[in-house]
Formats: sequence, structure tokens, C-alpha cells
Amino acid sequence: MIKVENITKKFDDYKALDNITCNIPEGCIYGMVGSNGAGKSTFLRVISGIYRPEAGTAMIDEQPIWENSEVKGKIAFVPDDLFFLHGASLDRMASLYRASYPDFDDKRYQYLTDTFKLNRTKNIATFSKGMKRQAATILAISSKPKYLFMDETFDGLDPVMRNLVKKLICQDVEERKATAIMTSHSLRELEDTCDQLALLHKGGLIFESDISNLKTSLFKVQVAYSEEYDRTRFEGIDGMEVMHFSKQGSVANIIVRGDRENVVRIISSTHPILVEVLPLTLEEVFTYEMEALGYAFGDVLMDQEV
Amino acid sequence: MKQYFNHKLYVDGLKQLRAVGIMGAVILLIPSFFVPFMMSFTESVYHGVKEIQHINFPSGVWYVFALLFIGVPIMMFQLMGFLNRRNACDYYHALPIKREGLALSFLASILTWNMGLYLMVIVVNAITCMCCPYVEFQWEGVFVGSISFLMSTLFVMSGIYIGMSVTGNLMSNLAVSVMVIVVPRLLITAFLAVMIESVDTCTFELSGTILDDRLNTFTNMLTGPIIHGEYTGLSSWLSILYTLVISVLYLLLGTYFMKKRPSEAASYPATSKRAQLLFRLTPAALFALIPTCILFASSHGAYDIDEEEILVCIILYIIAIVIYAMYELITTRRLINVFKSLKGLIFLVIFQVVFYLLACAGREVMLNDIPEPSSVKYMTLNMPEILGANYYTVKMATTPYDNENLKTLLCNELRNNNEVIRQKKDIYDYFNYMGTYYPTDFIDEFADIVNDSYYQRLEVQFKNKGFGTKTKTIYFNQGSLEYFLEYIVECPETTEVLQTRFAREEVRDYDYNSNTLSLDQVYDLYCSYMDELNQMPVERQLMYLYGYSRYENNLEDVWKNDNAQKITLYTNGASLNQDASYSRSYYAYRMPLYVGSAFPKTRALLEAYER
Repeated sequence: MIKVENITKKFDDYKALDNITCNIPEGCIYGMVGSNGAGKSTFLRVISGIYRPEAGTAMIDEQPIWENSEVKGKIAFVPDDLFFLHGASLDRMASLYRASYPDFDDKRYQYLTDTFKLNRTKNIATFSKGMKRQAATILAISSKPKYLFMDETFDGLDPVMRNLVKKLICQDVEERKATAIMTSHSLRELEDTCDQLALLHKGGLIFESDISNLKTSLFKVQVAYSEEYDRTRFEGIDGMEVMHFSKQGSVANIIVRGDRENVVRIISSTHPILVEVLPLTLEEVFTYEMEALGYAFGDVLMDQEV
Repeated sequence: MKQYFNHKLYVDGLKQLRAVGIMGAVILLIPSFFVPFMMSFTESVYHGVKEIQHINFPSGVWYVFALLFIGVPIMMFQLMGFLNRRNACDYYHALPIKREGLALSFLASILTWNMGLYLMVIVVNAITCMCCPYVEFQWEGVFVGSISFLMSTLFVMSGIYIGMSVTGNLMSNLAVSVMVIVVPRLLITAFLAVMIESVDTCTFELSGTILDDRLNTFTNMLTGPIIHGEYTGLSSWLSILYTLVISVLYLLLGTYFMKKRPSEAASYPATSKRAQLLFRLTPAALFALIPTCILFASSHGAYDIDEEEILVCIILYIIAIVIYAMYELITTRRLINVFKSLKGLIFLVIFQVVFYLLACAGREVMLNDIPEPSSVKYMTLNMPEILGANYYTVKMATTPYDNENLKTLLCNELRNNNEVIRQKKDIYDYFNYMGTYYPTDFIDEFADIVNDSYYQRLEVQFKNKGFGTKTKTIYFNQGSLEYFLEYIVECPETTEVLQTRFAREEVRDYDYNSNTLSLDQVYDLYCSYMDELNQMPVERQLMYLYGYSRYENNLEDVWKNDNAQKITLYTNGASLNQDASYSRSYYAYRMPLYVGSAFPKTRALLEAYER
């Protein structure tokens, strides 16, 4: 289990992580989303033992992570900015991993390189961006980590490879009760894979929740009235929080947080000519949560997913 | 143990250095193979016989030092260079290995490669020498030299380790590494130079103290040739021990910084703002020491500072400020940082003031550093300027003198000297009436120096009854020199020195009107001459050996009037203690024989040989 309490990480005067607390249970695939500079990569580096937080504690299996080789032996970290030795082939990198990770599994390594169809003896520098990420993923998974942290997990991977990586992660979690933390701007990918999702913003953890809870607690209501109305009609009602309101003609789209049945009952009691509840995609949930926090770059994030 | 050293990572480090190592091996193989061959083809004919040339390892094999100055830094930047790259730094810090284990395993790889290359050079040199006629590999000294070389490698490596642990880009790595390796010794040397400049009795000979530059086997390569005229660090076990201790301290310090080092420091010039201030200050502070030293020496010497010197000092201070700014600009590449850093100049001023005050305190300590005669066990007297320089002078410089009169005289004279210096009088002027006592050693290279001097001085090592040795330069006036020479003549140690003979093998050449003598004959003449000389009073022996004349005309006149034959022997001084500071400066010594009427047996022998 990963237990993080009140960690703060600063770079000079800039707070990259601000008093973050969270618990990540074993056997969970934990997704982290957030805008650029939200602190996702920093968070992963702190729980990988790369960064030492200025305040707070980060523990894995009740043990501190920083400079704890026993704990770090259970972790494999695939960063956003990948590193390979100069001029090294995949086999050369595997020998470095073998020297460092006690549980490096050669059979698994052979199997994965065959599965990904990567040339083990070729200089990694000649690989494409996606192939490099595949190589890093293979090496990390071959180390048989109990905790697998992947930053920008699917960056550069084609859809086939994305599915393969997802499958491998899920397999590890199922078979070895591994715990995976993945960050991505691609909310769609996380939606498919993760059990839990956390939203980071400006170094703070805005919320964390089960994916299913997240999607059911925030939903879209399409409503229309015969008379003229505006947002104020739905504000200040107990059990219903309006996150977003837009209106085209007489039909309004309202993003609401609350209990779905209760909200429908409340709105129905106001005699609309149309009331319909629509599920939100994870992207929409993310965008509206960010918007509620005053984050104005939702559109940019949506572009990056494509 | 595993947390400090990871065997697998060590092997991986060796693999990562393979390309650099192989390249280094190829580069070193070329001279290792060709130099002995070249030496065997270069004729060294000595009295008609082709002489065997020796390869002294490692001091005589210049190219092996490339490992220290080029090999170690390149390998450090190659293997520990991950500290300068953010992604590489993150990668290595994410590995399940403690930072000390990571660093020490890699350092062991670097040390292994360098010492492996070093051994390769020894083996190739030795094998090549076996194939080359007239070239011999000298195994004597290889063991101590190699241990010393290992210590130097360890020292350079640990210095760069500190430099890389506290900085995050190549420029800063280089600058701080050089600072760590050189600056402490430079500061000590600057301090000593100021002491010597302002206290004439103070010398660079500080055997047994931490101030002795010969203690560090690596920095002595830089300071030795300047201060002592040669590099001696490769042959001393004390230097080896000292360098080992310093290297271990540096390794511990480097490991401490490594553990504290934030991974995000990669690509930044320093791990913190304070560290950056320190790095910026160091080169500037060193440069600013030059005018500070000038000011100190002027204010504590016999002469007042003039306007020209003040102008030079101001210019040098301005250059120091420019260096301060340039360091910031080069390492951070941002002009705005230069302006922001200017407030740190206050520390530059503070450093100069502290150095000045320390120098004042040090000068007082030096002036009061006068041994009590009762606490002196014995003394060694290095006096080429008084008696002239030859084999027996150097022999005398290595002979312990235990004479109470001499001890009292030299201690008192040192006290008088220091009093003159304390009053800021010119010691050269004070003792300038030495004209009647000029030595007349016309055959000696040193005569020029002596004849140009207005004083007579000698270097005395006072060996304490307890621990330690004090080395002082003592200046004589007319009266004290007379007493000194009387005591020297009385001492049995002098008689013993005069009865010694150098070995036949030490005679390298000779100079005589007719060059028909063999070296064996010349040596026989020397022995005969010395046998006859030893029958004379000590004072007269000194006169003949050193050309010193107290009551008679100078020796040149004696020689001419007597129609004596002069034979000059050239010796290599192999039997002399090479630690004697004077002997180190010279490769060979001259030994003049004045074969005149005072040496009838030798004269007869010479005539016999000439027939």
C-alpha cells in the first residue's frame, strides 16, 4: 500500500506539490490526471524515491521510500523523459536492469521483446519515440515490480501498442497483485484501465475517487421549459450543485453534482417540458471539475487527447 | 557492505567505460612500446662504452601521468555524468541502490580502469625493455611509486566526485573540481609565500607539518617543480598516507553531498544558491589574494608601498570582480544573474580581510617560532652560500650536528634576525658588511650567487627533542659568522664528513688539462688526495674542499702560486641523501682537486699516470 501524507515539494519558490495526502491500496490501477504543471510527474518521482519532499511522508508497505533500497526494489518507474545509456541496445539496458533489480525476469524480458517485436540488439537511439517507450515499458515490467509507476503512459504509442501495454499492466495487477500508477492526459485511456482516478491541480490533489463513483456523481441533465428561465432557477437547491450551465433556445444543458434520482425528482417537480439525464465521459467530468476550480484550459486538454 | 558497494553495478560501470578505456589503452600503448625502442636507438656513449639507460617507473614515464590529468576526469564525466542530465539522474536515483552504493561502485570501476591501464603500461614497458638492448626497466621504486600513483588517482577522483556532487553541469563540474583539488593547497602556498616574503627567516621547508606541499602526492606535481625544483611526492610513504587520508575525507564529503543532492539539481550550476555563491567567490577570491598579498608584504616588509603598486593592486581587484561576474555568466548563462550576484561581493571583501588578519597572526607566530637550545636534539646545516657547493657541502647538510655552542649561537642568531625583521628593517642591509668573508669558490656555479649577495646565510633544520622539525634561514653578520665557522671546525661531525668518500661508480666525468686519465685513475687520485687532506687541520681541509679561506689569501692565488694541477671530478651524488633540500636542485656535483706541493703523494701518482 502506498501512503502519502501531507507531502510538499518545492522547486525554489514554486510549489510543485502542496500538502498532498492520499492512500493507494494494493492491487489497484490508479490513474492521475491534471493539467500541465499540476504535479503528476513530481508526485511519481516522490513516490519513486527520486525526489525528497520538503514536508510530509511517503511510505510504501509502511516503510519510507527515500533512500530505502528494499522498498525501491519493489518499484519500477517509467518516466515521461526516458533514459537509455548512450548507444545502448535493449539487451545492454537489460543487463543494467539485471544489475540493479533483484527480481529481473529474463524469460519475461524475452517474451515481451518478442511480443512487442523489438530488436534487442539494435541501438535504442535509432528507435522511434513509441518504440523507445515500448522498450522502457518492457524493461520496467520485466523487473517484476510490485509497484509500477508510469508517467505519460501511452505517449507515442499507437492504438495497438496502447492496448498491449494496458493488457500487460492489467495482467500484472491480476496475477501478481501489483499496484500501478499511471498518469496521462488521455483520459479515455485511463477510463478504460484505472480503478481509481485522482485529479491534481496546481500541486494539490483536488479529489480522488473510484472511476464508477466519479462518473455517476457528475452527470448532464438536458432540460427545457415553456417559459423563459436561466441558471438561477437551479441554484441554491439542496442536494444539487450546478457545475456548468449552457442554454440554446429553450433547451439547457446542466452539469450537476449530486444524487441522480434525487436531482431528477427535484427538476421534475418544476414541470419542465423536457428532462433527460445523460452520462458524462471521463473527459467531460475532468473538464468540468477543472472549470469549477477556475481552470480555463479545458479545451487545450481536450485537444491533447486526440 | 552491500549498501556501499554493488558488485553488479561495479561490473556495469566497467562495461560503460569500455570504449574510453580501450581508447586510452591504445593511446598509452604507443609510447609504452616506442619510447624504450627509441631510447635503445639513441646512443649514450660514456667514455667509449655504450651506456645502459634506465626507465624509472613511474616518475620517468611522463605519459602515464596522462591517466591522472586526462584519464580520470574523462572517466568521471563519462560514468558520473548522469548527475548532469535530468532524465539520467532521475533514472539512477530511482534504482534500488543507495546513492553511496551507486557512487562508490562507479568510482571503483573508474579506479579499476585507471589502475588497469597503469599496470598495462608497466608490463608493456618492462617487456619492451627486455627486447631493447641498453635499456633497463628499473623495478626499484615501482612498488612505492605505484602506491603513490594510486593515491593520486584516488585523490583526483574524489576531488572530482565532490565537484560533481555539488554541481549540475559540465562547466561547474570542471570549475568546482579544480577548486576542490587545487584551492586548499593554493591557499596554503599563498599563505606561506606571504610569510616568507615578510619573514626572511621563514622557509618553504616544513617537513612533517600539514603546510608541507610535498605531502600531497598529486598537488606536489604542480607545486614541487616551482617551490623545490622537482617532484618528490612519488617516493614518500608519509605523502602516501597523507594523500590517502585526504582522499578518504574527500570521498566521505562527496558521499555526504551526494546523499543530500536533489535529483533536480541536474543541469543547474549548483545544488543551492549558497553553493553557487561559494563557487563564484572561490576563483575571484584566489585572484584577489594576489593584491592582498602584495599589500601585506609591503606593509610588513622593509619597503613602503609605492603608487605604482597601489595601481597594480586596484587593477587586480577589478580583474577579480570581473572573474566573479564571468563565472556566474558562464555557468548560468544569464546576464540578470550576474547583476543579482553582485551583492555577494561583500564576502569577497570579508575573505580578503580574514586572510590579511590571518597573515598578520601567522607572521607573529613565525617571528616567535624560535627553538630553545635545550629543546634541540640536533641540527642539519645547509650552507652552500657560506662554504660553496660540492659533494661535502651536501654531505654536511645531511649530517646531524649536536653541538651546544652551535645550538646556542644559531638560536640566538635566529632571535636577532627576527628582531630585525620585526622592526621592518631590511635584513640584507643590516648584514651587508660581509665583504672580507666572501668565499672564493671560483669553480662553483654557486659562486656567482654568493658573490652577488650582501649577506651570508644558511638553512638550518632544528630537530626537536620531541616531535617535529623547524627549518629556518639564518643570516650572519661578521661576528656571528666567525663564531659559526669556529664551531663548525671544532665539531667531530665535520671531521667525520671530511673522511667520507664517494663511490667509484659516482664519478661520471672529470676535467683536466690532459684528458688521458681513466676514471679509475681519477678516482685513485681522489682517494689519495683525500687521504693526504685528512692529515691536515680541519680548517685547512675546509679551505681546500670549499675554497673557504679565513686567514690566508684566496685559494685561487694559492693554487696559482703553487703551480698546482687542478682536476675537477663530476659526481652524480647517488650516495647523498636526496631529501637534503640543496642536493635536489642539482643533478651532479663537482669535486675540485688542487694537486700541488701540499699533496706530494697525489702529485707523484698523477705524474705516474701521465707517463
